[in-house]
Amino acid sequence: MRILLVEDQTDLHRIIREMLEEDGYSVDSANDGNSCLAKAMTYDYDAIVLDLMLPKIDGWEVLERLRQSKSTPVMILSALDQTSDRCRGLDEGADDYLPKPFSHEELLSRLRALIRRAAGQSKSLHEFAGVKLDTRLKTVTLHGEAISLTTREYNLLEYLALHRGRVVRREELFNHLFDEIDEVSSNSLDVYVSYLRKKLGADLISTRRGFGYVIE
Amino acid sequence: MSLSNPEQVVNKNQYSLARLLFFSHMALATTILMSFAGVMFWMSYRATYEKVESELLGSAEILDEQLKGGISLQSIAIPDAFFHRFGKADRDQAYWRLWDRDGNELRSQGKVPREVQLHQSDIPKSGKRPYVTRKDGRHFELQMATSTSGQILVGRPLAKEFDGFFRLIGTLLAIVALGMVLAALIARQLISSIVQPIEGLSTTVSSIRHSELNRRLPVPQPTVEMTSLSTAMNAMLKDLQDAFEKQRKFTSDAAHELRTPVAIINGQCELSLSKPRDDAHYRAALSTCKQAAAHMAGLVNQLLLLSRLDAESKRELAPTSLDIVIARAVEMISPLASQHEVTIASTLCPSVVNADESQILQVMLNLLSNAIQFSHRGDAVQVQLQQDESNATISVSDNGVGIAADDIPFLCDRFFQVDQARTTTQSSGAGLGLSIVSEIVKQLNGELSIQSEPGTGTTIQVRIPVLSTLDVERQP
Repeated sequence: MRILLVEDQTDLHRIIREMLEEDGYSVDSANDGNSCLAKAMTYDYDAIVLDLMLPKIDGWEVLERLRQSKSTPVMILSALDQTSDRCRGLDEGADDYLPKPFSHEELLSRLRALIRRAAGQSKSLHEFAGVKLDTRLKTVTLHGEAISLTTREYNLLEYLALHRGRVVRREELFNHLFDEIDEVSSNSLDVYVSYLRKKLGADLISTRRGFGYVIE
Repeated sequence: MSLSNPEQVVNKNQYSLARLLFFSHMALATTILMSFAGVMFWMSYRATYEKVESELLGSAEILDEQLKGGISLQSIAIPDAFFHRFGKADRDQAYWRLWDRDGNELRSQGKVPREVQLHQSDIPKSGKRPYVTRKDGRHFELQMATSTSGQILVGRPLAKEFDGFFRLIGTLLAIVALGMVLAALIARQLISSIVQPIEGLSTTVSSIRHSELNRRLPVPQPTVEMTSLSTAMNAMLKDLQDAFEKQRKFTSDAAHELRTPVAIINGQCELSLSKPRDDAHYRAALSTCKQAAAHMAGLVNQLLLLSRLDAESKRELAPTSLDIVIARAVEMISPLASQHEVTIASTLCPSVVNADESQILQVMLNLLSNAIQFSHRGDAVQVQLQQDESNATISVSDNGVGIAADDIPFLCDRFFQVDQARTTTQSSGAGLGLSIVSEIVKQLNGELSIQSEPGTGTTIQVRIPVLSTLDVERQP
């Protein structure tokens, strides 16, 4: 899952980034409204964590301009905690609003919910072909037996599971699994898919040549 | 007239405006009506007596003529024409009596009410009034000397005249009563047109709570005075609303500024505690928390300073040597300056103003740290102190990044920060420094002016009135 983090206070930016990365997210950074808009327009992020008080273009305007063309889930993370600010944020197109100071757990739970809903799912537990995937605990079992996955493998499985039944294009997978500073070669995706097939069974993920991958 | 506000203090000796107006109006109306009635009655009374007097005099003259003409005493009489003037009824008829020079009664006619005597003193025979008159109950009598040196008395009861008087009194009383009723009606109308708008205004004003200061009183009101009162109160409401709004914004801004360091400390702690970490991580985490706490402490100190400045309208001011205080501020800020590789050059002249030393120090520290933060490495910050007849002028100039013209009007607003992309270092301020400077300068009756050119630098001038010899003498 790839997240755009927009926060101008350096310490806070670093802390939130670490929180997200430790939870397995790929994180892109923006320190002001301009770079946030440039990145958000280029990639389809799974979610954007947006501060409101930003240099150059403030968060309100970022939200307004983003919503003219993109429906990326947005969570506002702001020190403005008046009811009027929250309502304004939600009404102008944000999907969630978390006031600062925030709790680590709550931030991650809300992000999970945001991403789950955007993919059209309502539960955090997914079951398919004998596999049980718990997005809350980030655990996978096969026929009741716990399977250990690396973060990358887990993220690939989770993305395909969230979009079960749809063929996910290779570039879409690239965009959502790796952040802007990851160095990836074109076949690394095939490598992770082959690891997953080894651990969870060969027919779990089917390949559509020239398109991408799908979990039926 | 009770007003709806239960908290209002009503003194028992206090009259309501309506009562006051009603009684004064009625007192005025009564005075006018009673004077009118009195004058009317008096004029009518006088006219009646004068008419009766002239008729009695006329009949006396005729009797005297008859006596002089030698008509026998028995045939002397008041002619019918006069009797008709007196009135036809018996009760109005005149009586008369005639005496000779020795005081013997010669003749008497009509019902003389009592034993009337020859007038003791001499009755004047010429002059303005060659006769005497006497009012005796409802009788009126006139006595004069005859041409035969005797005396004649003619009198009559004023029966029909007194009837007239009583009728007149009745009529006048009716007019007065009617007038009073009319006056009361007019007073009521007048009072309601004066008092009602005041009561309405009072009700509206007392119903305005501090949460609805956006409400305004209706303008125009029925009277000019009420309109100007409403307008004045509306202006006051607007001032109150602005002040409340400013206060609310200040509180929410302060909360917002305090929340960021709290979020850093909280977030860093939660992150570090979420799983075991190595020593280097904990050290970095504690250092982040310490920085955030220091930032918060600085912010709280500045907020405290500002709220003290807001609360204390007058501080104890004392003659202060500006040059000494400025030199101290420059010394105190020099570690920050060398950290930023900025030099400070000061040109000072001796100058004494009426001020609080610690406040001047605060002003200088804020101005200097701003100048240092916005300077490039290797730049110099200029501090100058000049004095003319009336003002001491402190100016702090830098060759730093400068301030956009659009931002200058807002520089003294609390929590205002220029776009952080413009600072040369990570900004550590909360946007309170210049607000504090501006508040202090205002309290010293001074002026703050800011000139800046983006890319060229900024000059901030503080003008403070110097202590004249007159002021020194006034010091207690």
